[in-house]
Amino acid sequence: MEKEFLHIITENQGIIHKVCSIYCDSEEDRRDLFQEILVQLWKSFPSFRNESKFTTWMYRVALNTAITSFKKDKRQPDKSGIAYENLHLAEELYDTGTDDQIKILNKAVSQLTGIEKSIILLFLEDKKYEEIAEITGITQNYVRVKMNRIKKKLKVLMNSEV
Amino acid sequence: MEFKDLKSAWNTYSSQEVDKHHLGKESIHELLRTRTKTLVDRIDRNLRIGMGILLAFIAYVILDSLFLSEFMIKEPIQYPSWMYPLDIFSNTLIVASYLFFVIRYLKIKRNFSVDLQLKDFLNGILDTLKTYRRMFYLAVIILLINMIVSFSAGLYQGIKYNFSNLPGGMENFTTSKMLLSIFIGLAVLIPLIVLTFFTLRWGFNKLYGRYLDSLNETLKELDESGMPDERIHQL
Repeated sequence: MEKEFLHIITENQGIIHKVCSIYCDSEEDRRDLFQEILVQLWKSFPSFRNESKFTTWMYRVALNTAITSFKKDKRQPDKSGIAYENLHLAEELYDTGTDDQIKILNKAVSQLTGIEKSIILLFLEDKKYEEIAEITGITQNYVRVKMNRIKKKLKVLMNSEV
Repeated sequence: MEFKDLKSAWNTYSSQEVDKHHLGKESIHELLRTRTKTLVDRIDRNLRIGMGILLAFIAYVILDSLFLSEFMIKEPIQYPSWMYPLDIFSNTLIVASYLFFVIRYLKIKRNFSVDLQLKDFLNGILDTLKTYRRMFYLAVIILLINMIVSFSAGLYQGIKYNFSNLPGGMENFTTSKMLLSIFIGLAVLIPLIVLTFFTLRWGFNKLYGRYLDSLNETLKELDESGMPDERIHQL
């Protein structure tokens, strides 16, 4: 079983790296989270029964571990300071190169809450609402609502980064 | 930046990150071999240690009230009669609470796994932590009851011993002296209990309080009942 696990995880390790990228600021945190997710996957592997896709199951374990990670997120978003409705969302301001876009995206995403990070990650990974709902346990309708809110929030946050 | 650009930026970035941190089978195996305990493991370990300590403490309290004190102190101890029902009640309460706690813990553990949907997983961790907190307060209550009973018995014995040596015996223990003794006893006992309780509570909150709050907040964020009406109509 260990061989099978190692093979399948090596093949799909990108999922864990992506989750770590979105949840961790430092290399040290990233290493810790990677190991913690890996251990949780190994411990839950015997209970995986092909009821969902392996990647869906892997996202679920990885995100559950990341969201409930004991380390306190040092950069809690200041929700009170964002007045979405009053801000002009000037998308045309953005005509930047990929590197700059990545920096802006990274900085904005780091200010989202744990749940928001998981939803935006799955959205960026082109997951359908149905699969996002399956991973998070919330309904597809609520995923849509959350996604709209996150998009607005990200626009505001990215605007402030320009 | 449009969201399609955002996706494209993310794809570039995440591919770079995956390539940069890619690990071979050997490295992954090594990480598994040197694994540290995860948060859930740590809470579970703490709970089991706590259960062991609590069980030992309960055994000590019950043995003490039944045999130890009489065996160790040669002079027979005569507790005031009102203390016997209190003693029996507190011991029964403690044992019943402990059994309830163990059953609840086993039930939670049986239904809890990290590959559950996020909401159920959060509820599982919260339930485990709340059970841990309940166990902690059970231990605090046992300690406080034990302190109150021991202190009252000690005070009673002390007064009895001092006055029985005086001519006239307990008749010298007038109402005013009794009230004064009760006042002094309470003046010492109450701050001691309050201090013990708040110190232990502070310790627990320092360890898990903020984490519990943060989990509750996360769970609240997943609560669909918080969805504004106008959004529901748009769906």
